[in-house]
Amino acid sequence: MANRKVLVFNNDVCTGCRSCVVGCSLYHDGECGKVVSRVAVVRNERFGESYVVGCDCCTEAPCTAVCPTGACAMDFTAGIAKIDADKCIGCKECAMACPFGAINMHYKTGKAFKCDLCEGREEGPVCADWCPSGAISYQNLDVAFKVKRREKLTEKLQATKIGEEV
Amino acid sequence: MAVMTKTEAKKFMGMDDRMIDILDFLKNKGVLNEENHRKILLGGYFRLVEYLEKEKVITGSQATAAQKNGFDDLIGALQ
Amino acid sequence: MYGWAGQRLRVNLSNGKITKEPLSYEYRRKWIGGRGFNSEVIYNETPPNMDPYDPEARVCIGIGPLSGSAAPSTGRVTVSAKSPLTGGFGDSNMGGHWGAEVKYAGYDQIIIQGRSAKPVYLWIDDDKVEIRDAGHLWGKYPREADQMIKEELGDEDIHIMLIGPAGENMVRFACTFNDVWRAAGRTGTGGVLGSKNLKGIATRGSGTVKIADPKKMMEICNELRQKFKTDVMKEGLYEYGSLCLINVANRDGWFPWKNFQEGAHPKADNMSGETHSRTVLKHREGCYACPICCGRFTQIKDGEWAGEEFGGPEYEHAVPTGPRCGILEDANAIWHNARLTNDYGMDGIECGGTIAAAIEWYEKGLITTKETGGLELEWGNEAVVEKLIRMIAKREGFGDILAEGADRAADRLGLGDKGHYYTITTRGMTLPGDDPRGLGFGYGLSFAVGTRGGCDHLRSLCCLELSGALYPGLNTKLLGDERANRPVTTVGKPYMVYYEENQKATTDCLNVCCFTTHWSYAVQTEDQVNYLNATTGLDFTEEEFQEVGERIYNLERAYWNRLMSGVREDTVPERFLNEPMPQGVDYQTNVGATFPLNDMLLKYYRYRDWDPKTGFPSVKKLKALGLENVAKDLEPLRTKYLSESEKKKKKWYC
Repeated sequence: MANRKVLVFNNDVCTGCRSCVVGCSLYHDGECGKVVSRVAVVRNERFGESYVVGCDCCTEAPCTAVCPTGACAMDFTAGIAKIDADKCIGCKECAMACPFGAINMHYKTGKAFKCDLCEGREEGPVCADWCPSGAISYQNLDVAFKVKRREKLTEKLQATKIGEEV
Repeated sequence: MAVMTKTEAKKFMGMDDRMIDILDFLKNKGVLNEENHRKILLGGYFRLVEYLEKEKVITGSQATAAQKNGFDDLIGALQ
Repeated sequence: MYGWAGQRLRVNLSNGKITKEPLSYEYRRKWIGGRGFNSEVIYNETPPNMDPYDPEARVCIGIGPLSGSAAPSTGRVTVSAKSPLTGGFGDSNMGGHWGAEVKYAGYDQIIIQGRSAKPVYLWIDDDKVEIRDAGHLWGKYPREADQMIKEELGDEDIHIMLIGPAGENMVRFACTFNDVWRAAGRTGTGGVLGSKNLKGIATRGSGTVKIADPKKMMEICNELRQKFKTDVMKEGLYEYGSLCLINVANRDGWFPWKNFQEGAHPKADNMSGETHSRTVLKHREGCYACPICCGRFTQIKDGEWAGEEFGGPEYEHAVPTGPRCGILEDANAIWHNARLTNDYGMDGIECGGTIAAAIEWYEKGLITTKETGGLELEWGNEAVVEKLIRMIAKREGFGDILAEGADRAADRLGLGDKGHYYTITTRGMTLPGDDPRGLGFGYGLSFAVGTRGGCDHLRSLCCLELSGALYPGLNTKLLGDERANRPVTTVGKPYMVYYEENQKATTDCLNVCCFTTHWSYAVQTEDQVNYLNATTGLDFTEEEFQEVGERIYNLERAYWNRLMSGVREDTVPERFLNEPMPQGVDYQTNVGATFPLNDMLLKYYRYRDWDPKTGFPSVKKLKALGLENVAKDLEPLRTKYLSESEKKKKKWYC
């Protein structure tokens, strides 16, 4: 568990640029577009809000639980559920079961497709690699949690330092 | 290869903006024709240095220096 | 088809006819896309003497072969029309995500012609295109109309191009937006759309951009994006937005204070990017596929306008209705004024520049409260400036005169040459917030010869003299002289402007963001050729790439020449030529400078192969660029331009 690397999403800093979307689609499908991306960005332009939706690498992934053919199954080495297109019948149950909306149906095959952490890519997942703001990062889970816990303490320490200077 | 006299070189060294002047000069000298004058003008200074090296108007080391230091060195190499 | 969608949409609002026109290989190779397609159509379909608000005047909205692809920053859109402000060639460029959506819907360009009998908007849903009633949207701010259309069409994820109330009122510098806040600010395209009763264009695209060599494209895009991670300009722009320029502008004396009376002010830091990010920055934003993300979202936290929020502002959007009008004490006033011009849908640069001219006319006694309807115009008076912004948008009272733009206003008020001295324009369009006595001699030359009027740093965006110094060796590589990397020198500037204008024009055809190729130079011409070829499967060379830009530039120039605009109009406001830069702060670097246009202009003409007597492109150059029809058009006009009657006419605008 400690060594598992996952995608970590920090929506506070998401700029809504969709660099992740274009990179994912080009890398996996050889064409560029939102409809063939395994990661999505939701924006509300009026209020300057945006957030990224990607695979949360669930331990007990609902998408695997509902699949009738075993096409969507856990790859325990990679630490993420993967979809075998040959076995997929396009029933959409996995897409509906995902709490985040991270699974989509492919316009060419009608079958489900999802993130596979860019299996085989030396630099790791494209989305995390290309994200300009750190909204997506590919991290060791244990380290990610430790950093998060330390955030509040670091804030407190900095505030104290300012107080001292005054 | 000397394509420029000392006087001509001095005139170019004193100019603020030299690309078109040097290209026109080289065309008049027959070093450039219409076609490569046009291409080099579009492409930029490095294109000029590459061309002159390829045509053996300047040597490899003169080209390297010209790429590093700009027209001042190139004009020196053309004298 | 790789890269391009392969067709454009033509919409006739007079008769409701919608046609899809295929784009041939020859056309795409010659004009590439975006600004190239637009300029070709405007030149051939909107004749020189047509009124910009004529129903038959065209508005072209163009994107390029790379739009929606994984190249850095592929969301941009070019909007082109005969300008109501200058009477000449006009275009503007906006970021956002709408451009990518148009490509995904399956179009490379949209041409609007005719005039609808009542307010409408266009709904493009892939291959289904509909003209829909917009009566309920007329009068709404873009942020309101955007929400209403999304609710009406039942999809919050669509992208929408819109005009604001100023466009509906045909303010001569009204602008066009997409994604609510991303503005195609200049030259008044919003008013042309308003004159056609077109509120906007909603778009949903479910397609993709096909890539000829996906592996190569992935390699190139990945390499460029790795570069951006440590790029120095990216860092500054991401952190502070284009407002990162404020303190630099102040130090180098190009900060527009009081209509460019001065170039620096001790309180400039009030509105710097650093201050903005500490006080009012709500979010950082990025246009489609952008590795830089210089976009801002601002929320005013305190004072009179607490709670107001909006997308932006850019440097150029904040300074005109701020320090250019003498407002600097309370930064919230600057943000508030930027919010207003966004909501009304007007070019902040032109609006602020026009108000600043009016304040100086008042200061110099050229106008009084008689003309202003009782308003006492003075520098730094936010209440008056704010009121004028509203009056201009609504075309009320004195605002109706200012809504004509500074030079037409000067004529309406009968101010003569004295009035025009203070309008800070070239060809009728106001210069942006960059004083050429500071930024810079290249920029200044660009203003004088820009093919959309005096805007226009964005015709060359010759940042080789601004951020070029951050890329050692770059000026040598392109121009042969590293000394050109400073703004207040004439060294290398004629060639710099020539090269950058060509490069920028082709960049505007691909419709990628020029902040990746000018400002940041992480992407250079050879990279653009690589990703263009990897996407389209074609074999452009760097020279052909630059030549397309040169072709477009000459076509746009000829548009002006047909309107009898040439060498006599290639100038900048006399203030910059004659008034030495005063000292505003003690660390200012350009005190005493004036702008030496004449030292550079004729040399620039030699690069362009333009006739120095007229400023018209030579026949030889036009033919070499495949513009034989243009050469024919200009033939009878060359002698006309030199006639005594033409020489007598002072051409502030066309």
